[in-house]
This record gives sequence, structure tokens and C-alpha cells, in this order.
Amino acid sequence: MSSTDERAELRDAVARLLADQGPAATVAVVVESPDGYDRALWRQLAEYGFLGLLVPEDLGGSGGQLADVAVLAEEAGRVLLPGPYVSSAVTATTAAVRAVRGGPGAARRRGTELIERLSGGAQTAVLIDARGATCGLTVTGDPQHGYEVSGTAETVVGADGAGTVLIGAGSGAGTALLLVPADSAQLMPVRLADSTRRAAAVRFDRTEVPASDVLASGEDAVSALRQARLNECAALAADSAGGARGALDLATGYAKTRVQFGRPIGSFQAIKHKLANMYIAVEAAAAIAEHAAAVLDTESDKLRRDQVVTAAGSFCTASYRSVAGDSIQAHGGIGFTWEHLCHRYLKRAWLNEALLGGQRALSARFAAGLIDHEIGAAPVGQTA
Amino acid sequence: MEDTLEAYRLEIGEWLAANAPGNWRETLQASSEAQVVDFYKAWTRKLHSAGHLVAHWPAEYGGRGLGFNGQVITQQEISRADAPRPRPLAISLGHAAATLMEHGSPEQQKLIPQILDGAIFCQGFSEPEAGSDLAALRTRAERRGDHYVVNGQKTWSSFGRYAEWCLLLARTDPEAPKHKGISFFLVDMKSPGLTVRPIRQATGSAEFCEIFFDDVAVPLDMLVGAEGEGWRIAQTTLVTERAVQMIELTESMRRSVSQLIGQAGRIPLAGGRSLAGEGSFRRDVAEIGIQVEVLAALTERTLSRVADTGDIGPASSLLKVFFSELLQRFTAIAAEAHGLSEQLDPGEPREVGFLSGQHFVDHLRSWTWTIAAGTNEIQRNIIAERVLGLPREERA
Repeated sequence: MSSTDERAELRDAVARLLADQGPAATVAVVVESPDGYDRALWRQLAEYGFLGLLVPEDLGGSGGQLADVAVLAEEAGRVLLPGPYVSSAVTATTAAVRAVRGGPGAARRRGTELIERLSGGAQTAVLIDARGATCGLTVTGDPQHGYEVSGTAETVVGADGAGTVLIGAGSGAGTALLLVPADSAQLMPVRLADSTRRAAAVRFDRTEVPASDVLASGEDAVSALRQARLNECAALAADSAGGARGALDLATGYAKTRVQFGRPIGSFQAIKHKLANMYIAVEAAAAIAEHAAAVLDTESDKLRRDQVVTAAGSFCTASYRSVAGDSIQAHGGIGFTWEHLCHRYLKRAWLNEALLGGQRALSARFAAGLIDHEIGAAPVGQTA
Repeated sequence: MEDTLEAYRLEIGEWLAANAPGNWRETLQASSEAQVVDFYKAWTRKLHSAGHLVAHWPAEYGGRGLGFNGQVITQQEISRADAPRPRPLAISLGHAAATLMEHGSPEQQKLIPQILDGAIFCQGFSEPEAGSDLAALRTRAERRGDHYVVNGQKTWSSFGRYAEWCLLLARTDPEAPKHKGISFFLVDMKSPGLTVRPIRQATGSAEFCEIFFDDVAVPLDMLVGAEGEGWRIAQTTLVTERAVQMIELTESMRRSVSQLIGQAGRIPLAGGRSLAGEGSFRRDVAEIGIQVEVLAALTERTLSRVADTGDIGPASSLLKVFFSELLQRFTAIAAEAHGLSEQLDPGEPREVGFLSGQHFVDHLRSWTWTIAAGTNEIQRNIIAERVLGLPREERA
């Protein structure tokens, strides 16, 4: 899929599918079910090829582009689709697909099996990037002999219910991407403020990862993890743009029908300007989310890719937070009730932002690309 | 058409590389206002003689018939070359030309070649008592025999002092409902009884003018369209103008952000650091840089929508608000970075584009963008009522 027309068709198909299932109306019920999302709908997403958009056709996927993922993620965000779409079908799937492209032969079969199960909707997976000191996992070993994993990764969003845990570990030439069946780890579910996603603390106790489960190592692993992070950021940006639109639509509808002082509150300029500001934020977020996906599909310059995707992640999550908050405000008291969807938008906005490391980190990353590139050398001794 | 456009892109790119004036900002800063206007007129003629001024216009009016996509290419290449845009002719080439092409009589359309020769048109729309509520305008045009007699006062006419022609909105029927009694005229700025007075602005310069009409005679054949149609005719503009203008604005913002970063690397802070390494400055600049990326994406999305549908729709209001408020924040951050040294009296700054590199002047000038062409408050009303469909407010 590539042309504008086909993408418009994709959007229609997604919107129809999601509308038929009515996630927006039933989200409060669905999120309280054992799985936390609608399995039947998940299978349908798989049948339509939506879970395999990032999987090439020769690996059994639908061979789409990130621009297609952005369309789906935006619609999913708009209706608050519960479930691990981004964590499994985008982040973990990207890492696995990249790894089997360059990884060693033994692991290729394991990776390919996983990818088929993910795009077919048979299971979900989650990626833990354990390369940072803050993750809580200790990973030792090497690609030839396998690895051993110990420790606990807290609050892994998308882990609850996942059948496979992918772990990114090491650094530089020692970077590796490991495949661990979820039953070799201990998953302890934790509830999130955002009820539309599920999380777990993932504990490993000297869990052994055989060499055949090392999906990629060295530069291949670095590149798989980098692409997974970029795709995740672009998908969460699109989810946020869609969510912001959903929150705006609620507020607009309410402002037209809610009557106070004998007239619809939407006729007051205070409400009009608030909604106009929300609209501007929504349109701007949709534009940069679409652009970031297109840049990942077509641009090869690494700095450009990083900057545009970081900009999208930052702007879209910040806009989502502010629009969802304003939507509560425009609704007044009713918007603050548990039954109303407003708070679910706000909480999903916050989780999206936290998943990307927060505004401070996004800003610092963008500043590094912009400023240090501009003045030639990274001011190592100068950064505050 | 695709091949023609690509060939055109190469042609104008090569031409600009060879012909774009260098250091034009510095030259203009040191020139008198009249010299600035002459510079832009000469540049307009030069662009046109090479076929690059209005390549998007139909051939019958002096263009190459390249349409909207051609106009986008012209603007992209001028921005890429960092060449000047003929700014004092913005109304001539935009609003005036569009109005003449769509509503002008064959006689009136004879003014189009004058535009291509550098004639400046100014707008006679706003009045002291009719700003955001433009339809409340009071300037009268009364028909007397073979001409109209115009009395009243107009304001905020850019480059009015140097204009050859005025696009005038005046009331011909004071009894009609306020939008219905307005007519559209072309007025020769040399007409007896017409006086122009520059308005010195907050920046210290005087690009805007007041125009006083004291029994000014306007020939009947200078009425555009029919009497009472002025309001509708005034809405005619190349709807695409703002989208295309955004190409230049976005590129200038990028350039100006780079310039500020370069300067910040040379602004020392205590402890041997530079401003470029200071945390809150980095966060401010990142926020601006991120929003410039967003502006570029919005512009691109809008341009492709205009190319598909021929209409910019509500994106026009959105772009205006987003851009102008970003400009205001960015110029404030840039001026702040320079501290006291930015607080010297700039005198009478010249029109060298909306980002001159004089950050505090640019910051002051940013209010022309948040106010002119419909204040941002009016734009928000437009978005709320025409896009979101909220109920209209009671209006007098």
C-alpha cells in the first residue's frame, strides 16, 4: 500500500472495523475483561492484515509501510482501542523482523515463527530494552554460548498476557536481541492508570537463553533496536494525534448540546476559543505524525529521521495531554466522572508520553540533534 | 505537466543561483525606505523578464500556465536560494491580480501588465472604526454623473505611500444591510483629494499608511463588478496565497533558528560554558525547533490538499494562528538570549523580510502577524464556527 487513495481506503476500513466493534462505547467494559482487550477484534485485525503491516510478504505479513501503521494507530487512538497494538504489533514486531533479516541462521527459524504468530494474532510479544542502567535486568553471556538473565524489569507495558519477551541487552558490538518465552519468566501483572493498556513486572531468575534464541547481535541488534524505537515513537505519535481528535470530538459535541444561561455553551467565546485551540493542536499533531511516518518510509538520513520522529513524539504527546485536559474542562463536572471517556483519554495521553521517556528527555534528544549538530561539536563539557 | 514542472524547477534554480542578489538584507538595512521600494520593484521586473515572477499565471496574463504546483516550485526555489520575495508587491501579485482576473472588466485587466512592471497596489479596506468588524466601514462612494465621489479614511495600508493603485472598499448604499451596501473600486493614488500619511509603528518604521479621501473622483469604469458586490469580491484572493507564503516563512524560521544557535554558541556564561549548553535555553530552542518541524508538516499537508482540491479551506486560519504565535515565541526567546545588547534603539528598521535577524525588532514586528489579515481571535472564531460548527454569536 502506498498511494494516498489506498491509504484513505485503509483508514475507512479500519474506522469501519473499529466502529462495528464499538470500542469507544464499550471500552469501559472491555478493559475490565480478563485479557483487557477484545480478542475477537484482535483476530479480525489479524485477518485484515493489520497486525502484519510491518511484516514483509515473504514472512507472511501484509508488507505495508509505516505510513499505513500511522493510519491504523491514529484510528485506534481515536477510539481508545484497548490492547497491546503498539507494544506488540509495532515495537516487538519491528525488532523481530529486523533481527531475522540479518541475524544468524539458527535463530532465523525461531524469529520467523514468532513473527508469524504475531501477525496472525495467535499471541503478542513485548520488547524490554535492558541496555540502560535503569532497567533492572542483568544480562551476561555471548552470542555463541547464549545468555543468562536475572533481575526484575518493572512496569513493562504490554507484558501482561504476552507470550514472548524480547530483550535488548549489552552495548556496542556486544549488543544482542534475545528471545525469551514468557513462561521462562515470572510475569506479575500491575494495573496502569491508563486502563486501555496492561502491564506487568517481569522477573528473571538466572533464566538461560540458548544461542539459538539470540535473534541478532552486534550492529544488527543495534539497528533492530533503533528501528523498533523509532517505529514505536511514530506509532505512539499517531495514537496520540488520534486520541486528541477523539477528545476534541467529545468536547465539540458536548458544547453544541449543553445549554446554560439559555444557550449552548459552544456559543460562548471562552468555549469557542478553547475548542479552536484544541483543533489547532489536533490538526498540527496529525500533520507531524503523518509526516514522521512518511520520513521513516522514505528518508535515509539518520539525523533527519531521528529529529522528525522525536519532534512528532514530543509534539503529539504534549498536544494529546493538553487537549485531553481541555476536553475535561470544556465538559465541566460531567467530564470528571468515571463513566465519561474524558479521563481515559487523559490517562492514555500521559502513558504515551511516559513510554517515550517524557517531555524532558524528548526535548533533550531533539536539542542534541539540533544544537550540537549546528555548532559542529557536541559541547560535552558544556551541557548543563 | 510533471516534466514541465521539473524542467521549470531546474530552470529557476539555475537562474536564481546566477542572479539572486547577495547580501540584500544588509544592503537594505542601510538604505532609505524609497530605495528599499525601488530595490524590490527592480527585482520584480528582473524576475518577470526571466519568466519566474508569475509562472503560475495563465499565459494570457503573462504567466506560463504552470498553476498552483508551479507557484509552489517558484516559492521553494526562491526560499532555497535565500533570494528576496518582492514583498511590497504582495498585494499587487496576490489580491489585486486575483481580483482583476476574476472580476475585472477587459479595461480594468489592462492594469495587470503594470503589476508585472512593478506597480504597487495597496488595500483600502480597514478604517479607524472598522477593523475586525470590517463590514462596518463608513467610507462613502456616491455616484454623481460619470464618476463616484469618495469621502472617508482608510488605514493600515501597507506601502500606501509608494502605491500606484488602491483596492478600495466603500459604501455605495447606506440603506442596505451592512454587507450588501459595499462596492469595490480601483483608485489611482494620484487622484486629486487623496492624501497619504504614514503611520509610525511600534517597530519605529512606517510601512503602513493612512489614506484620506476628500471628494476624490473615481471614474465609473473603475467600479469592479456591480454595485453592492464589494464584500463578495473582496473575499476573492488566491486562496492559496497563504499556503504558498508558508513555504518561505517555514524556511526563514529554520534559517533564523540556526542563526540563533550559532550565536548562542558564542554567548559566554559563567563557568566557561556557552548559552548553547545551558539547559533551559536548550529546552526553549528544542520546543521551537520541534514546532518548526510541525509547521513544515502542516504546510506540506496543506499544499498537497490545495493541489488536490484547489481550496485551502480552514487550513488558512489554522496556519496563520500556528505560525504567528510560533514566530512570537521564537523571536522572544531569541531576543532574550541577547539580553541587554538587544535593547538598543533600532531606529527605523527597514522591510527586509519578517525575520531580519534583529531579534527584538522581529519580536515587535510579530504582532503584525498576530493582528493583520484577521486577528488571531477572529481566526479562532472562524475555526470554531465554520470548522467545528459551533453556534454563531449574536452580531450587531
